[in-house]
Order: sequence, then C-alpha cells, then structure tokens
Amino acid sequence: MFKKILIANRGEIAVRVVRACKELGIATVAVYSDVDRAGLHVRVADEAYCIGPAPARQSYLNPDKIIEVARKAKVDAIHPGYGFLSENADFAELCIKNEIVFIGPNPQAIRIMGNKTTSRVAVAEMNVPLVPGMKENLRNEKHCQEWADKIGYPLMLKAAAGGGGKGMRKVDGPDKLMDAFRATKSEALKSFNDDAVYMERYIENPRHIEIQILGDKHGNMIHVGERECSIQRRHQKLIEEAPSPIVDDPMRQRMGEAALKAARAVDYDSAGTVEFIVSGTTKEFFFLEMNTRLQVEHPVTEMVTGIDLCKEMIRIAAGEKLSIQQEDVQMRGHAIECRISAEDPDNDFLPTPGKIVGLRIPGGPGIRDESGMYEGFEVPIHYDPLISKLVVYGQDRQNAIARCRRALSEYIVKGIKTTIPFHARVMLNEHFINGDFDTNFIDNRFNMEDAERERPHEKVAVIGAAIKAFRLDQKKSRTSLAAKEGGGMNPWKLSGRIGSHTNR
Amino acid sequence: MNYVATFKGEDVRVKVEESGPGLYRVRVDGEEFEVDFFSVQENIYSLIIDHHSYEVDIDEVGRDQYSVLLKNDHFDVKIVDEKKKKLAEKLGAGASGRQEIKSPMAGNIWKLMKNQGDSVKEGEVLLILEAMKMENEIRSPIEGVVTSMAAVEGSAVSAGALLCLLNPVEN
Repeated sequence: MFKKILIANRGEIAVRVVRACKELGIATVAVYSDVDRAGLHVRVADEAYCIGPAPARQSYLNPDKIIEVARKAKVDAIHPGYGFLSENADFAELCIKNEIVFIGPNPQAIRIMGNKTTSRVAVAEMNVPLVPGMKENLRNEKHCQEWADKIGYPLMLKAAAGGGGKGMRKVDGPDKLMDAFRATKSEALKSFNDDAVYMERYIENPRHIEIQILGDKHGNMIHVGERECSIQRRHQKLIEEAPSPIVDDPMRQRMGEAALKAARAVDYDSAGTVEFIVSGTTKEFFFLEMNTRLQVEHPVTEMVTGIDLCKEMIRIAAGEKLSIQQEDVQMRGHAIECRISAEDPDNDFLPTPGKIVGLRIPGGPGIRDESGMYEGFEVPIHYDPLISKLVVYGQDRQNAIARCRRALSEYIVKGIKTTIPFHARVMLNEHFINGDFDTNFIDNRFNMEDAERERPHEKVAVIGAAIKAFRLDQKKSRTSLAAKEGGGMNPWKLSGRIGSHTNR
Repeated sequence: MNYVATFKGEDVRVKVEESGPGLYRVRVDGEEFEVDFFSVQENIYSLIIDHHSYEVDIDEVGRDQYSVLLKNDHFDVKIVDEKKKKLAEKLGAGASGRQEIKSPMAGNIWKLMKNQGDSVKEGEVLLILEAMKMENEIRSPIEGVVTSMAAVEGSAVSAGALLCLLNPVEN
C-alpha cells in the first residue's frame, strides 16, 4: 500500500480523498493556489504546498508544477479527484514517467473515453447499444443533410470533443438544420478548439442514468449499481439518487452488463462511470460516455452498497485485487445527494462568491455531510461554485425524500446565497416525489411550477421584515438623538440603557 | 410606527409597536399578531408567533429592501415608513430617472455587448461577466440608452461596482 498520496485538487473532493487516506493510514499532501491558503483541504492534510496563483491554468491545471511538488514531497501516488487533471491522459503518462502512480485508469483508457467519437467506436465493437447515429464526424453540409434524412427529426448535433453538456443542439426540423450545423461547429471550435461535429437521434423523455463500475489491474471487474442523475439545470447535475426510480432488477442487470462491456473495451482498471441516456418512455438505454474518474455523486452509491469507492480506487491503484465480488454487491435503501453551490437560485443561479459568516450543518440520523467549507471560509471566484454535498439515506425513496427535506430545513449558510432553498423546493415537487421527470424537467416544468408555488409563510416574512425595519429605525433615532443631545456621550452606552433587551 | 410593506407588487399596511423587551405587536392588513422576536446571530432571528416557531433569515439588501429566507422559501419585501412614502408620492415619484447598473457579484468583465450611446431594449444583454467558471449575462432592466459604460473588457470588478448608466426612453 502507498505511504503518501498527493491530492491534486481542492474543495470538498480533496477533503473526501484525505478522509479515505486517513482511514487507510496513508499520509496526505495537499496543494493549493494563492487564494486557497485557507481552504479546508489544506487544513485537514498532513502536508501542504502552494502551487501558484489563483487561475487554475497556473496552479491546479499545471502538470509540471504538481509533479515537481510530488517529487519534492516524495509521494507514491497522485489522486486527481474530479475536474482539473483527472481526465488528462498526458498527465497520467507524466506521472508514470516520473514513477508516481496515477490513481485512475491506464492513460489509453482515458484517451479513448475522453473523445466522443473514439469512445463510440470502441464500445460499438463490444456491442454496447449506442444512440442511433453516426460513428464518424460530419464532413460538410451535404454530408449533414444526408445523415439528417437517414436519422429523422428531432435529432441532436454534438461536438466530438464536447462534454459536460456543452456543445450540443437539438434540431426540430429540416429548415433549422444548416443554421444549427454551422452554430454547433463554431461553438465547438470556440469551446474545445476542435470543430468536429456528429449527429444522432434525439431521445424522447431522456433520463440520465449511469452505472458505477470497479475494475482492478488483475482483470476483475464489477458493476456497483446505477445512479439517477436526471435532475439537471442546463445540463449540469443538481440532484442524484440511487437507485433510479425507473430501474428494476432485470434492467439493472442489463445496464450493468452493458457498462462492463464498455469498460472492457479499454481494459478499464479503476473506479469509473458509464453514462447512459435512457428513454423514460421505452426504457431503452444507450451509451453516452464514460467518465474515467471518481464522480461528484459517488457517495449515493456508497450509501446504498456500503462500498467505499474512494478507498477501493486507492487500493486498486496500489495493485490490490478487488475486495468485493459481483454477487456481493447489493443495493439497500435509498440515497439522495443535493449539490450545494454558491449560486442564487432566486436570481437565475448567479454565482455568489463571498465569505461564509454563519454555518449550521444538518445532523441526525441518515445524514452525510461532504463539504469543503467552514464558518469564516471565503468562497473564491476562480473555481467551480460547488461548496458542499448533502447526502441522505433512507430505507426507501419516500423516507429519503422526507429526510432530505428535514435536513435542508436545518441547513444554514449565512453570508452567501446558496442553492439550499432550490433543493428544498424540488423535494416538495409532486413530479419529483413521483419519480416522474427527465433531464428537461428543471428547465421546463419545475421552473414554471416553482414560480406558481404556494407561499403559506408570506405573512411571517412581512412581519419579520417589518420588525427588523422598526428596530433599525429605533436604533437610528437613538443614535441621532445621542449625537444631538448627548454632548460626547457614547451612543452605544445610551442604547444599552434604554433597554436591557438590545440583544433581542 | 406605521409602514407600508410591498410584496409581489401589492401594498399592505403594517403597524409595529414594542410591547415589551423583544416583544412586538404587529398589525398586518387588519390582523394582529403578538411576536416574540429574538436575534440568534447576525441576520438570523427566531420568531415565535402564537406559539409557532420560525427561524427567519432577514437581510437588508438595499434601502427599505429586505430579503427574507423562511422555511427555505425566499421573499423580497419592501418596508417603507408610511410618512416617507406619502412624502415621496407628493414629490411625484415615478420620474425614476437614470438607472445605475451595478455588478451583482465579483468577477471579470468578459465582453461588452453594448457601448456608450447604444440604445437597449428591456431584457437585452448589456455585458457578460465571468465568475466561477460561468458566463453571466447582465441584462437591462429598462428600455433606454447607455449614457455611460464604466465597465472595461478584461478588467476585474467587485460586487456592487458600477457597470454602466442607463437613461430611460421618454414616453
């Protein structure tokens, strides 16, 4: 087993990896940019090194700097977390060249799965179902027209180098095709520096369901159940759960086997996730992409299976065999994760960087807090707004939702706006409660319903605000009175004398 | 004290009296409440109204403007002294005049979509602000003309910094 690991990340995921290492008896090295000196990950790690200025390109995305620190600190391995360098095949190779273990799959697996076109070719050879569409890229407008005629409408245009929901466009009819083709190409060039675009069928009622897999370096591979990730806003996941409300055992089995085939296509040898797009109408599922890293939402799988994915990933990287067999994997109960972000849900999810001046983390049964913040922490403007994940467990979905609602009602983050109120309102939404949603649910249906929601507490809000206004007015008049008449008298003393209840 | 509370565009008369230490008698729209108002920590209050307990987060976000978070629902409430409101009405409010567009957060000016002298429609994008890996569109709240553009492409701004000035279109 490793003696020391460097975590090339920040925020909640860096804290998560440090926790796993501590439980395994492995020393930890944190890295941080200038603005992250006070980061929680720096405080919990055994060692810490500054790796440069705030912009990620000069710090968390700088492979040479991270390798330099890894060598100086004499670590055995590097855990990349998610984002940043986690899916960078060149970085994985650079680690190997420097005789440092990259905690992730082999670089070739990262390279193939990192590109939509090459990954589709690879998994198609293993007979994994793909969304009906093309395996090559569109050559020109004529080629695009031919394929559109073959696939039919509505269809999707996607950037080959895309990801994270960026660089894709739905086309409803032939009159919109050419404009969409040109727009997707130019967007792809701008965002990914690669204008390659391909086409596929649009899936009605699309749900995003993914399978967690674990493979070791001895050829063993298992699937560890699915996660439902359809609650998204503009293609960004907000709430994930396990199991999915629409997946039953036979379907789980079929999806699990398809996921293993996809992973075998690249001799996968780490923790990874195979994402599928599932038609909520027909329950057909199609390979979307494979994420060759630990996912943000991995805790929901851990909660229902009892498997510590993060530790398992480290053990695998150290050359150990999988500690679990396929038949040992069982999902029990239900888990839900809410991504808590520094964004204002009542103002179009605008980012809200700033200082957290008050914090109350929910507790009680079935609650797991995965946060990278603390009271007094300043959320920087330079990185992803995710500050914490609230994970709840219940014996079934209904109980998990009720528990999630309870936990969110206890959660207080003061100083910055967060997405907590949004999550609380989703947990009350009838369609969500019934499991009746797809990836468009938040952007279309929920937002409309949310705007029309019942607001039984508005009178209390008015009363609270009015009393606060009254107290502020009193304080002002006391202060001005003191300034006028006091003749050098301290206004604070005066206000202290008027009532002993000033703290109330 | 008498106030006028504005919530979702509707005005409600509110009367607040102190009835004891931390105790208030509040009349809202003719209905009376006895309220025990306790400050737990900065901007967080515990309210007991007829033995119902509420934890309420009340921030003063602007002049007479309050942002209230209660049972994970969000309310924007305006509370104005009734006398002040009457005075303002007498002076003929409505002539809202020029609008100052301020940055809602700290970030970098990514791109200016409008320049000085340009006319804008309500809801049109004035500029794009980059923060936390996201591009955020700053839109015009009114139809008008950009009289001054203080924002400079590529420069950093803090929350509340003036971005530009707009003059409304005269009807």
